[in-house]
Amino acid sequence: MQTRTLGREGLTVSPLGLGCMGMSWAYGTPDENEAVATIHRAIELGVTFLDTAEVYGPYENEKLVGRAIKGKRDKVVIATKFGFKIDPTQRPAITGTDSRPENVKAVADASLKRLGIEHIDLFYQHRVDRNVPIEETVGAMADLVKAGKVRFLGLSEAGANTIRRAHKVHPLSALQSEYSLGERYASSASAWCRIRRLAAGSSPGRRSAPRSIRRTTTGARNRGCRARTSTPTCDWSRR
Amino acid sequence: MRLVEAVKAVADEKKATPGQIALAWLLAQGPDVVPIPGTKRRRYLEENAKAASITLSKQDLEHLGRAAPAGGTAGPRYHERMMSLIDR
Repeated sequence: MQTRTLGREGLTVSPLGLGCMGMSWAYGTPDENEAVATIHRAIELGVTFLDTAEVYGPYENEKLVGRAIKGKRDKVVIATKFGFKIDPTQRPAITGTDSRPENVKAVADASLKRLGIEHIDLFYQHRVDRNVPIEETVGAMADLVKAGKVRFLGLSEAGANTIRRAHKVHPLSALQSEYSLGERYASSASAWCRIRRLAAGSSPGRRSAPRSIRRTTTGARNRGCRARTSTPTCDWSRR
Repeated sequence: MRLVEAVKAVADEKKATPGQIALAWLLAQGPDVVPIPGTKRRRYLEENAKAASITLSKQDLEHLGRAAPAGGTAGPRYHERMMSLIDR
């Protein structure tokens, strides 16, 4: 498979990634052997961009990915995410958001340990934290880049304003958001649209979005199209 | 369901699955778009991976686009509490 470049900082990934969440969370009973075999097969097929998060499991998914990539570190690009307040004894385990700088750094260290790697290739804020200015969060993320613990930064489900502010603190390489032919939530796609316009360097006030991006209808996700969790990581910083 | 029918029609023509067409459509949205389909089984992974070699024509993309009109959806993807965490 060829590669795709996200952002302007040099993040290069396989055109398709592998979402690992369901291997230990949501969607039924986990099957570790099949999950690890799936990751190994993905690497063989050139699907080397692996997506996980602290909160998946919680924690278990990163450990699983860590076990699967043992001895194969140089073949994969690992993306993980911080940003939730987690209480594993609760159902659901997510009890809020937490993007305070001290938590950003603590999660990075813990994720590195669970994944058994020396650096995280792409570190995302999982959800915007309304209690912490994005500049503070991205400042902490930038410190992690300086420390060599993280290579590239991203946000997930962030709006255009947040992205603009974050990008001023440190260049971002990726935005993750739900988007597909069958995505049922139109406004996330419109945010995506704005973001891509920012990226393209054209006027943010321009009204017409690229036609294809405005499509956000129903169905495919729940009606037999297996690409139900197609989550694009899109680069808005390209000019 | 117009969208489902449109996806199926393109899928049949390409001898692909609807899921592969949905992924190929995403890949066609730009070189800066990287779909991350989730799966925990080799079977689905292999199916998804084949989407990278499907090229949709301009006509295919228009056909799919027409079947999926803007804002034509209803219902959030998460429950209210998780939905409230999405920044817009």
